[in-house]
Formats: sequence, C-alpha cells, structure tokens
Amino acid sequence: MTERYLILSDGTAYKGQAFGSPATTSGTIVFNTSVTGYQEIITDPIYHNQIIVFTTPTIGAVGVNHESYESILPTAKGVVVREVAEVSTNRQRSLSLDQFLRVHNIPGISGIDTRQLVRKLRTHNGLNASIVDVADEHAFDQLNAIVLTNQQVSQVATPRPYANPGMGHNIVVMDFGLKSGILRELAVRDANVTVVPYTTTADDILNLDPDGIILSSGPGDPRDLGKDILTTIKTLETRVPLLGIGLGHELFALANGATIQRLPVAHQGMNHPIREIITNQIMYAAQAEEYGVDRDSINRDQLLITHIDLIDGSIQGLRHRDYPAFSVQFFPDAAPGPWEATQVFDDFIELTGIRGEQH
Amino acid sequence: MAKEVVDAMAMQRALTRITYEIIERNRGIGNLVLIGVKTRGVYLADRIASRLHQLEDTVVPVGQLDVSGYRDDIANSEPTTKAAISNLSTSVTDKKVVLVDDVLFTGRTIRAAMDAIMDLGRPNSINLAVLVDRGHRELPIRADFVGKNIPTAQNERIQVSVNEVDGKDSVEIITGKD
Amino acid sequence: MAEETSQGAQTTAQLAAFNQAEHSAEKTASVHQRLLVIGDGPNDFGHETELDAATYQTLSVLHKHNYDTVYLNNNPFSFSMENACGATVIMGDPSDAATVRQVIESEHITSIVPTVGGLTAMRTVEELIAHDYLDDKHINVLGMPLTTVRLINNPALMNQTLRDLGEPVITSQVASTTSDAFDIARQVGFPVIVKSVAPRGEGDRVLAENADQLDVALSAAFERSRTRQVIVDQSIVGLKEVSFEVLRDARGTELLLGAMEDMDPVGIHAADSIEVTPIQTLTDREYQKLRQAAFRVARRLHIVGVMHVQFALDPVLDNYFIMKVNPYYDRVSAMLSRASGYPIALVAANVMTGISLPEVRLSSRFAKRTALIEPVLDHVVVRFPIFAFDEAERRGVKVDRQLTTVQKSVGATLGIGRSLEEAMLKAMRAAHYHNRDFAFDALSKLSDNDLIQQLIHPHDNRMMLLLEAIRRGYQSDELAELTQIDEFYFHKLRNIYNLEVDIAAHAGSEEWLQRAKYYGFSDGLIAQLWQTNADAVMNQAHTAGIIPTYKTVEPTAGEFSEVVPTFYSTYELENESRPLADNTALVVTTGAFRLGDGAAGEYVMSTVISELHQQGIKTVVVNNNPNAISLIPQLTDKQYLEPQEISDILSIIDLEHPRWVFVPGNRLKLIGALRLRHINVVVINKDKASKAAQDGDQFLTRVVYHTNKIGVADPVEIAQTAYHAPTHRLVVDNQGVPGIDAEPGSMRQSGFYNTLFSAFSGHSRMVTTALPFPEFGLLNKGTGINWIRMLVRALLDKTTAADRRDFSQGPFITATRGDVEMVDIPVDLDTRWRANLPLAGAQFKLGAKINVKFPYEFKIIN
Repeated sequence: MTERYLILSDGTAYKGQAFGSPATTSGTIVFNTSVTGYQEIITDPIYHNQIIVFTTPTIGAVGVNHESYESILPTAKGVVVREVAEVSTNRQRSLSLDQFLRVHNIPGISGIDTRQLVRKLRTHNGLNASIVDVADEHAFDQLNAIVLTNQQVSQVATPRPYANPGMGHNIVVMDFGLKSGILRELAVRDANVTVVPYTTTADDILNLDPDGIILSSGPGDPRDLGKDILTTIKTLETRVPLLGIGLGHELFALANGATIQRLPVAHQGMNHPIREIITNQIMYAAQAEEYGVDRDSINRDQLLITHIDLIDGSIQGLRHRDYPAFSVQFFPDAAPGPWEATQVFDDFIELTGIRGEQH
Repeated sequence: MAKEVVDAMAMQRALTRITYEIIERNRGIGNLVLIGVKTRGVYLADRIASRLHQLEDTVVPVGQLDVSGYRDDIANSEPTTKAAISNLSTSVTDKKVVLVDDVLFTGRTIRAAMDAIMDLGRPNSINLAVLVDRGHRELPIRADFVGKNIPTAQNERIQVSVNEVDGKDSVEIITGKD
Repeated sequence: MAEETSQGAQTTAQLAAFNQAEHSAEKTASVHQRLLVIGDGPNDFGHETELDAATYQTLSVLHKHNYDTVYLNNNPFSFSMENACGATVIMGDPSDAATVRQVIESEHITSIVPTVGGLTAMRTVEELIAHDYLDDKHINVLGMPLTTVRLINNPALMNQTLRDLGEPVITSQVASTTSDAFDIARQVGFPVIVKSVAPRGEGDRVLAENADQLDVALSAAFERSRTRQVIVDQSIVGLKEVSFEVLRDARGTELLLGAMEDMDPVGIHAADSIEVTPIQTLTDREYQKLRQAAFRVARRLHIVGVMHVQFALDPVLDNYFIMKVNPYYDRVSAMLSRASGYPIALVAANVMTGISLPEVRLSSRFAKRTALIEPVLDHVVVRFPIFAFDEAERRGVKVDRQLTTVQKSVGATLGIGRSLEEAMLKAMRAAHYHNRDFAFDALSKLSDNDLIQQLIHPHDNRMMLLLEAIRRGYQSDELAELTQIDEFYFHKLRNIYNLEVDIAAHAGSEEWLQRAKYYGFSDGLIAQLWQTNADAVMNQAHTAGIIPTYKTVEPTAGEFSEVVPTFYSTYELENESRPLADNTALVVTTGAFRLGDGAAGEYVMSTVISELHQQGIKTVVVNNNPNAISLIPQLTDKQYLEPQEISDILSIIDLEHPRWVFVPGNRLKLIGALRLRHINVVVINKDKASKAAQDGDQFLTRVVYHTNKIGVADPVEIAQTAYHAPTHRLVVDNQGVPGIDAEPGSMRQSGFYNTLFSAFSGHSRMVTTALPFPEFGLLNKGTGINWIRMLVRALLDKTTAADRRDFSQGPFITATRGDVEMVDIPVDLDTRWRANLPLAGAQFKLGAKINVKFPYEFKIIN
C-alpha cells in the first residue's frame, strides 16, 4: 500500500494510505456525517473543488452502482476516510470505489484519524488541503499558493439546454450544478423537463411556456454569480410557480432582498431535524451547506420563513408572500437522504398543476 | 365500500397549501376571518387558523356556521332552518371572509352560508376554501382554494374524516350501501 | 343531529390544542395519574440487565416529572427495586395477571407502563385487556394503544395489519393440528419456520427442512403454545437480517435511532448473530427504504416511544420482509444506546409521558437538542454472542453446537473500534476466549469435509472457522455462497488473516506492533504470533510509546462538542479522555454473561458503584456487555467500553490513576496482576455457588460478615438460610446448626462468607466460602437492608453507627413477613442446546425470583 499525505493549510500533515487516483490534488476540505450514500455524495456537483472527509469509518462496501450517480463526471477533489472497503464487483457493483476514483482521477486517502480531523475542522472553517506524495515545504508552498476558482457553477452546469421528456407538467430546470436526484424526482412525477443553462434569460425561459421552474442546487457562493440572474429570478417568480433548492434557494433569497453569509462551520449530513413551521412537524433531509440566508436580512413583508434547522437555527425554507414561489436549503431529492423530504416535489408539482388549470 | 383517496399526510399537505394560497391571495392576513361550516369544516378552519398562527404569530378569528337541517347532498331539498353563524368574536363587516367546508358539491350550502354571512354584516370579500371539490354544481359557485379535485359519480359519496371527531384524517369515496 | 358543543378556537392555547389534535390522536399524560411500571421478572435467556437499566432510567424520568409511580417486580437481582427514584416498590410477580390486578386496585393505578418489562409485560397487559378489565377500570397503557398490545401478542393479526399497510410479510398461517401444519408446508414448500401461538416464555422459531424435522418442531411448538396452535411460515433463510430502531413522539415526530446488520444471514437467531452498527453493506436507497418502512409501522401502531423492526432483506431482488416488531425496550435498544451514546431509555421515557421530542431536555453533557439528532457514528461497533457450551461438555453432557433459529447464546460482548477489524477483534477478545480457542491455528486439524459442513451449518466458533477457511485458500465469493454472509466481511476477515501472517513474520518489529494494535490485535494474540508472552508485548508497546488513545462515544460523529464521558480505545492521533479527580475509583464490572450469576454480578457491582457515588467518590466503570446496567451513564462519572484483559485495565489505570480499583472476587488473574503492580485493589469477594448446591443437596447456611476493622465481633453472623433446590430461604429461627468456627484461611479479606451444613452429612460437614453473588439478592430483598452498600462502606472505612447496629444484631431475624424465598427459575437449556443429559445444577441457572404469597411494599435501607 502506498503511503501518501493529507496536508492542510494550517500546516498540519496526516500520513495515510493512497487509494483511487495517484494524482496530486487540492481543494477546500469539508466533512460529511452521512452514514450511507458515499457514491451519491462524491458525484454531487456541489463538491466541485472540495475534498470530502467521511466521518463514517468505512466506505466502499457497496461498491459503485449505476443507480447512484448524481452527475456523469464527478468533480470532487478528493476523499478522506478511515477505512475504504474492498468489494468484489458483480452485476450490482460494476466498479469498486477504488476503481471508480481511478477512472475519474479523484485521489483518496485512508487510515486518517478522521475524528481528530473533524474536531479540528469544526472550529477551523474554510481550510484548504492537498493529497500529496511528500509532505515537504514545497507541498505546503503549493497548497498555500493555490487559488481556487469562484466560478464553480460555470464549470459544472450544462452549457446548452437539453430535454428530459415526460407526459406531465412542463418544468424548466435552471442548472446551477444540477444533481440527478432532482431529475429523478421529476421523472417519478412524469414531468416534461427542459434543463437550461443558468445564464438563460427570463424571456427565453417563459417562451418554453413552463408550468413551473426549478432553480437547481450547485456549488459555491451564490454572490459570485452576478446580478443578472437575480433579475431573471425576480421576473420569473411573478409569472410561474418556482422552487429553489440549495444554491437555488440562496439565489431566491438574494433576489428577494435577503443577504447570504458564510456559515461558521459548513454542515454536511442528513441527521438534523428540520421544522416545517406551518405544521410544526419535524423531518430529516440531506444537507450540504457552506452558506446560509441571514435571518435578520429577510424582509418579512416579502418572504415567509417556512423551515428552520432546529440544531443550528439556520433558515431551511422560504416562501414568497405574494407569489407561488418557494425554496429549500436542504436537498429534497433524497439522493442520498431521508425520503420524507421528497414531499417538497409533491408540493411543487401540485402548485404547478393548479396554476396550469387556471391558465 | 370505502376507498381512501386522500390519506392523513396528503390532507395535511392540502391544508398547508391552502393556507399559503390564502396568504398569497389576501396579501397578508390582517383583516381575515375564517368561517367553518359545521362539523368538519370548523375543524378544517381551525387547522388553517393554527397554521396561520404558526407562520405569522397572529390569531385569526374562526366562526362556526351551522347548516343542520340543510342537506346539500339530497337533490331538491329545501332548507328547513336558516343557516346561522356562532362563536365569532368579531364583526364580518369590512373583513376578508374565507368560508371553509370539507366538500363542495351542489353549491347550495355555500349559497346559504353566504346569505348568513351577509345577514351579519358587509364583508369586504368572501372566498371559499374546500378540502374536496367533487363536481356536480347546481349553482354558479366556484371554490377559490381547493385541496383536491375528486370527480365523482352522482351515486358515490365523499366521506371526509378528521382526527378531532373521527379519530383519523382521510377522504374516502363510498360506493353502494355503507 | 346532535348540537356540537365545540367552542371557537379564538385563543392561542386552543389553537395549540387543535394543532395537537391534528397531529395525533395519542393521549398525553395528565398530571393526576398513578403509574404502574411492570417489572421485568426473573432473568432468563436473552434477558440480562438491559431492562433493569431501562427501568432505572425510566423511574428517574418519571420522578423528575413528579409522576406518582409504583414499580412491581420480583427479580432478586433488580437494582431498580432498591433504587426506585421515589417510586413505591411492590414485591410481587409482574407476570401474573392476578397480582397485577391486585396491585392496580390496592394502589389505585390509572396508567400502566409496559415498555421496560420486556415481552412478558406485554403478555401480562394483554391478559388484562382480555376481559375488558383495563377498559372497565378506565386504565390506559402508556406508549401504545391497547390495540397495539394485542397485535404484539398475536402474530397472525400483526401480519394482517402489516399486509394491509402494504408492508411485505412472510406468508404465515396458523394451524391447530399436525395435519393442518403439514398442509401448509406442502403448500408453501420446505423449508418452513414453525412457532407457537401465544407461547409460554420467549417465542421460538424453529426451522424445519423436511418432514421429520417438521414433526419434531410441531410437537414442541404445540406443547409451548397456550392456545395449542402453531404458526407455519414460509422460510426466508439466507436473506440479510437487519434491525432498525425508531423513536416516535405523541406529536408524530419520528426519528431513526440507529440500525444494525447481522453478519449472519436469516436462519441464525439475531441474538446468536454477530451484529454490526452502523450498517455496512446497504446502499443509501436500501437504508432509506427500511427507515421509511419502520416509520410507517410505528405510525400505524401509534407508538409513542421506541420500536425495533427486524427486516429480512433480499438485496438481489431488492425486496424485504418484516420479521419482527418490538415496540418496547429490548437488547437492540440497549446495544444501540451503548453504541451511539444516545440515551434511548431516557428519551423514550420522556416521550412516553407525552413530552414532544423538541421539548426533551437532556443533561448538560449533551449539546442542545441532541435528542432530536439522528445518531451517526464515527466508530464501528460489533456485538459478539457468547455461548457456554463448554460448561456442559466439561460436565460430560453433549450439546448441539449448531446455530439455528433458536437462541443458544447466553450473553454478548461488544467491541468498539475505528475499523471493523479492530471492533471485531476487540469484541472477540472481550468474549474471554480461552487462549486455546482464540489461537489462529485452533482449527487446523479439522478435516476439509467438516470444514465445509460447518461453513454451511455454522457452530459457535464460526469466526475461527471462517479464518481457517481463508487460511486454506477459499475465495471470498465461494465463502459468501457457502455461508450466505456478505462478501464484504470476507474481505475484512482476509485482512485480519493477512495481518496475522505479516505480524507473525515480523516478530519484535515495532512497526508491525503498531500496525497490529491499530487493527485491534491484543497483547495476548501478538504474543502467540511472536511466541512470547503477553507481558513482554505489553512492555514493548509501552516502551515504544504505543499506547491507546481514547475516543468519545457520542451521537454526532464529531460534529458537535458533546462532552459525553463514554470512551473506547483505539490507536490514533488524539486522546480525548482526561483523567477525573484524585478521588476516583475504577470499577471492573461483570463483562459478558455466561451461565450462572451474571445478572447477580451486575446487580452487586452496580450497587457498589452507586454506594461509591454516595460516598462522594468519582466512579469509572469498565465493561463490554451491551446489556449491562453498570454501563448506563447515570450511574457512573465515566464509562470505558473496553475488553477487561489485564492490559486494557492497566492502560485505563495509567490514564486515570484511580485511588481504588474495585474488582469482583472471581477475577483472580486480574487481581493478582494488579497487586503485583502495587495497585490498590479492593476485592468484592464472591464465589460461584458451592459444590453442594451444584449437586442438588439440601443444606443450611450461616452467613457471616468478616472484618476486623469496624468494631464488631469478627466474624459476625448476620443471617441463616436454608437451601433445598431450587429454593433459597431466609430462616427466622436458629436452626440448631453448630456455631461458627470458620477456618480463618477461607476468609482472607473483608466481606461476606457463608458456611454450609449439608443435610446429607447430618448438618455436620462444613464448608466456608465467599458468599455467592446471587445470595445478596435474597439477603437484601429479604431483610430490607442493603448489605452490599454496608460492605462498601466498611471497605472504605466509612461504616456508620447504623451499620454497626445492623451488623451486631446477631443472628438476623427477618424483618419482613415470615420467610422469604428465592427460587431459581428453570432454564430450558436442555431443549435449546439439545443436551443428551439433563443440565442440572446452579451453574446452569440464569435467573431467580422472590416468591411472594401476597404482594407487599418493599423498602430497603440503603
């Protein structure tokens, strides 16, 4: 087994064993506390530029299967774990995690005291890290010199529109780094989907005569995307039912005058209770958050707070007072994650249905 | 035979959506009054009020409308007593009234209800929210907020159950003798 | 139409009430209730001290919320009966409906808590329902509606309910005659599973693969059934078996407390399986599907509290079956609670009283609202079953070691590590194998034919067998096919095997020593591979600075700073355990139950802990039994979930520097090793039941307390007892046996001893031994004086005037009504193990009960 190093921008180095790609890699380091769903997590475009630490001690035991891709080409920068499992590949597991990471040029490192690392990360936000062969001064210099792009969305989102046909409601998805789970949930509801680049204008979208519009999840800081998108959202929300997810939720909030802040500690996992305020009911959902809506910045005459995270108090859902437009910070597509969150899609489709009938 | 067409979860979601739509339509809830049609409409109105309270921390008055003796589901029946509103702590004059019923069928109950509301005062507007619209209208009445459209045959019956009186939340279609 | 009287909802309070009504029809507890907590009764197969632990926590929650509570039990080893947190304790049989009715009436009970009394309590409640007794008296059951209690006791009805809910269940039919049963078997095809309807005791599932086996299974099942009916199920042997534990509150909030997978497939009783949490071999989709299914069941059954659902999963066809629904505290709850640190029993007790999950307040050790977080782990926990077949074989009794759908294990250990390998090796080590059994070459002489037979029909030693198969070159996929165990485990076992080979090839290597430790190899195992002794390995590791780092067992995988004082060892970068204060006692408790006095041992050692706490001493416990009451965080300041080998204990001592180390008297090697190192060991002296007791003799005893420190006559007699199998009695009158003339040699340390006078020798033959732990149950429950606490005070030189008075009252005259009897309960070992000769004798006992003519209020002076 090859020894490699995980080095952090605070100067620490961890010795571990290489798996996956032998490449040298750098990115922001984040941790995810999910017990299951490593394949979905690694392939989610929100992890563009990021090295993911899994707190669950062993990943890889169920290999990699065709049902669990969240994007075709994963863009995560690395995987850190205590143990990676070997598996035999067969018809359900066409690849092992090790093979998969090699194919996609993503390095992994195992044998790390991930608990110690996470205890550090929960107080040192936004550290960068590299997985390298030698943890020498040069490696640290390289790490410290690295400038990560803030144009993640343009790197993972589709450059041109495409259709995912169905026989039901006509839904346009603005792609900010779409994960497949969103399309899967729409397909289950037989929606006729058109995915468009996030730069598409409001007019072009409305010309598709949508019954509803989804602002997809995606990587990075929503403030890096420019004002035009906010104007587009402002126009769309008055015309067609709209659902924002993740980054899309943050953009919806920005478009309606709220501000976004970077969280003191990024939260990634699926075990926080989320309260739906209107019914006072609690549910669980996958979350992957580095940014959040600033509660004090919300204009209550314009937006209703619909969901909050009961652990960290973060805003998890918003709704426009005057239009059928709402958004959730968490991932309602449940890929991976608890299934009760998929209700959000039922709510959305129902809303588009009602508007559809009124046309 | 009974067939469940709306389960507890779906009923809750429908009421949630209706609540949001009421906020949307009325641009806020400042001047709102809910009037539930007895028996189950009252509970549904209470639930909508409770949702509004959760969201806005404001208590919206809920009144009860008694239409006993007034049978909507039997053709050609005329009301034997007049519908009457009770338990309403506020006047309806200049209020935005939302009438809440479980099932919208011929529309006759709603007409009677509107008469009763008008007797009490002069509301700014009257909207209608129903959990189920089963079709077969006999009057030009249309719901503004609909939980679920369930097309039915004349000989079918819609049974709405609410936890408060029936021990469960559900909408069932009853066919044949029950 | 009757005029409705409901008022308009104009106030916030009313709105809240309506809101509540919508979410759930479940009733919340009102303040004017008097609750009856039904006790667990005698310990038995699959019933260790987990229920006692849950009861103690439940009583403490009820007390905190000012509930007026009555606790009914007759288990002599119940810690909760002596530490009832303000509840009224009634001595009486909780499994006897007449007794329960009597208590309900005399104590004016309004509600029943059945969820910490195991399946027996559910049966008792069902009997109360049967004649509309509870309805007539307007008594409700907390935690679930009466209809659910009924379902739990009626598998056929439960299956129908689940089927109506759209949940897949095994095709299952009831038969009243052998010929009916054969009709069913012919229809669904062999193999089938046979179980009794309304069985006496724990229900068993027996696999029948052919007509002969079915004949045998049926006659046993009809015999056990109280209704003379059996259920014949389609067999799902070979599928993956997993358990999900969910919690639901009265408002309908549901959360997943954890899930476990069995390494062994369906066909081996889950309690006999090697179990692992967190789930290792399920995809997220499979995991979430089962989570959702468990929620649906909890919702349908209106559970307010915990529920464990056992699934059989077919990953190839992507479907599942529900095998079992347990809406009460059980070994799975205990295991998951220990594994994650999430206080399941405490939260469940809160929720049961109607408190919603967001309102549940935990101790300040936890981050705010931890009760609402779905626990996640950053460690692996393995539960390893203990079989005590050797005990039988040592006595010349042949038993059937093959693992089946009938539980044969008598206890379990858990191992925690940061890898499956580490957790597995620690669990096996905690199981205290004889070195001979744990040697990697233990099975080298097994023939290939026998090896294959045992791969298909596994025995208790299957871990060693699987490693032997790997050694002989079997491939992972072959093994997976033969054993129906997921290939993932064979990759892990192969890793253990490869490590073993590499370590053996690098004797003395510090690098390999580090690596061996990292993967959980013990000093003893490394010593075997290096052909040296454990002390040498331990010293080398110590010198090289290879020492364990302790990590916290907490439910958020490091996301939050939970200061839970529960730790396990591993060999990584960061040690999270800081020593407690100077005034600390380390207590080594019972470990895995084998046969005999496990429950009594936990009871005695937990009482020791409780008294130490009472004396203002910080307590640290080390144990590895997932069901142990001594491990619940309420009892001690700090818990180590660790094996109890000498090096494990020494590592903890190195960190904590305790002033005292309390050890049960049977741990002779450990006591010796600690004394050798000048560690202040305090021995709670004990002996196994005496030889005479094993042979079914009748005898009388004098129980004496020996010390020279507390200013009473030495030794002083405190009681006399009589034993006539299976009954132990406290005797009121002097029985006329000879006076005490104990051999000083047999009373080496302060503590209780008993001197036996055998009836067969005309009450003259005399043996003096340390008092066996079970006898404390009789003494304490019978006299209402806590002799264990008195012993601890004496050992600490803190004897009180009251103690001195109790000690010196001379031959004790029982304070309670007449003679008190403790009766060993029969264990069906013979049938479970298919023994060729009866397994008699005290060492084959698992539990006892206090016989009570009329229920009475039990009080004890602590």
